[in-house]
Amino acid sequence: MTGMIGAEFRRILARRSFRLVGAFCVFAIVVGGIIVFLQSSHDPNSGLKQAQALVASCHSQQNQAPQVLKRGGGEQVRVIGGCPTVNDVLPDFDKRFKYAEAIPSTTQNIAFPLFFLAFAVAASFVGAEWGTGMMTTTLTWEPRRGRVLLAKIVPAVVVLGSAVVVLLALLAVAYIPIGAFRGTTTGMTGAFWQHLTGLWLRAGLLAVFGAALGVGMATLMRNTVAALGVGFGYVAIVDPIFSHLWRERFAPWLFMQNFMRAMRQPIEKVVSQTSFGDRTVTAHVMSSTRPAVLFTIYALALLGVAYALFRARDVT
Amino acid sequence: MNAIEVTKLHKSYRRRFRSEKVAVDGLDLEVPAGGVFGFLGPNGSGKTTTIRCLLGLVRPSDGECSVLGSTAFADVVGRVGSIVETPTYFGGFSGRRNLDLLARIGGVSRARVPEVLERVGLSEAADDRVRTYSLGMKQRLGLAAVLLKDPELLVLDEPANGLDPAGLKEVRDLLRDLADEGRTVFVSSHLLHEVQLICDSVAILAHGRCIAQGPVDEVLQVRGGNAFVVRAPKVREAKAALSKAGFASTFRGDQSLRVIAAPVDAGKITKALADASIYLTELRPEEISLEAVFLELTGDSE
Repeated sequence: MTGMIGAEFRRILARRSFRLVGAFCVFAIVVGGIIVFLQSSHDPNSGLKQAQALVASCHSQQNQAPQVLKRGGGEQVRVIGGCPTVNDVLPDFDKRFKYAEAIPSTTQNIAFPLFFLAFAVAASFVGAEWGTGMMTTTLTWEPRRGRVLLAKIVPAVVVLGSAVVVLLALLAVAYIPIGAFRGTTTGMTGAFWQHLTGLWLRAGLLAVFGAALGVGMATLMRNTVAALGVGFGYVAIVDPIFSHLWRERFAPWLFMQNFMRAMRQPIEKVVSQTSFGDRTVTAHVMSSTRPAVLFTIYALALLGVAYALFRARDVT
Repeated sequence: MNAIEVTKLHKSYRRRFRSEKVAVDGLDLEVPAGGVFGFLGPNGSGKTTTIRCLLGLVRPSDGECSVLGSTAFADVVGRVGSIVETPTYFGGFSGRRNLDLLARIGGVSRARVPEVLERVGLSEAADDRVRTYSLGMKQRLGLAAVLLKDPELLVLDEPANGLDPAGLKEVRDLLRDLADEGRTVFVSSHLLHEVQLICDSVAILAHGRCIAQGPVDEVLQVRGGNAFVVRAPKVREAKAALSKAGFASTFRGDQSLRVIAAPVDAGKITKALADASIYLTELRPEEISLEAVFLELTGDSE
């Protein structure tokens, strides 16, 4: 069994899809870093001129414009209020790269694309084997199908989960010089790193679920494209429909809702109810533990069904 | 002891919007241990389905398969090497690396890899990527993978597919050598001449059933030894004269007749033609080939 898992580890690491996706992610980090570097500035007053110009323009308009303006339709609008100060608008034009703000938020935002890439690579890892007929060869060497499936799951979740953590860590490390030379590293305290590490681990764990779901779906469908189609169809069609039409009933169980919550700060579980006339709206605010438990159940359920069918169906 | 025993094997597939397809229909088969056993049949006769049942890839609808005395293939997997149709390997890996991976999966010493590559004549291309291999080289790699386990029983589905004449001879010699080492080689093939050259026993399938089985000589004798090839100038008149004398005959493609008659009736054939003033130019017992028997048997079963 260990030999088989070892062989599958070598296979997934050598897969072109895994290497291409990895190279693409590294490329995106590098290109993103160059763009951010070029567009940012170390000078705290880098946006001062633009802020001053905006305030001056506002004052100029205030002075020139009559108290009552006429619109094309004849409606009269009265200009109310004064102009902002330079200090008010300066943060909007501050070109400094604020590392401690940008990196956690970027990590949260790219967690879902990374999750879907983990799903896709894991699905192709298994789906390609069905597509080429290699599964037949494998099963003539190890006919116990539970072992074969386990030997696929373990490398997929370990490699893809780790790869996501490594990529996010690479992103964080690669952008430190930008913060240092073209912005500010203020806020990079121990608590910041603790928080960021937590985000990496969450994203890694979500990629583990993505990989498990990818393996399960490709085992069920016996085809990469079909597995990707089901995954994409759920995210693009099924989840939004349920989310919009039956939000109150299904929100706690929907994938995307839980995914977003999993990537946020741990928050206290609060269920509030607001009454609008005779209608009550329930807002579900969940802790990040719930999504973890829910995804574990979803992944295990899918893998359980995949195993049952893999065991029962003929390999032709 | 038999290496393979198949008893009343039945396999049917459900098809969408169509009636059930019967692939194997009550097949009984006994493959003796040792020697080369040929498994023949036209396309769609159920050969590959039977092999898949033997290897646990397909569940029989009814009946039983036993391999090396066990009905659970998983119990004997280490003693059986197999190729099912065209063997597939990881195209991005070299032949050697593919075998390394299989050795890991099967718990086989990787020291055997160069040995089996040498044995199938793939040493020089061992480090090339499999996607650059020709069909024949892939077949050789498949044979190398089969040999990796040093198996007692080899189950080979069309192992000669894509091989050139030199490759065919090499594989023929290899399979014969393996059988001479005491292994059982169960080989399905449509290359009947090759099968006749190397097999000790054969089974012929048609429509999912075994229609002939036994040592090659016996199978050939069942249908052979009772016909002559007769060549004469006036082949139509010759046929009529033979018919008058009580011999059934059919036209062959080369202006000759195939006359059904016992070996002792050669003189009667000569006399019947001479009485009709037809003087034959050739009279010889029909050579019996496995191909002829195969075509006759599978034709009869239509």
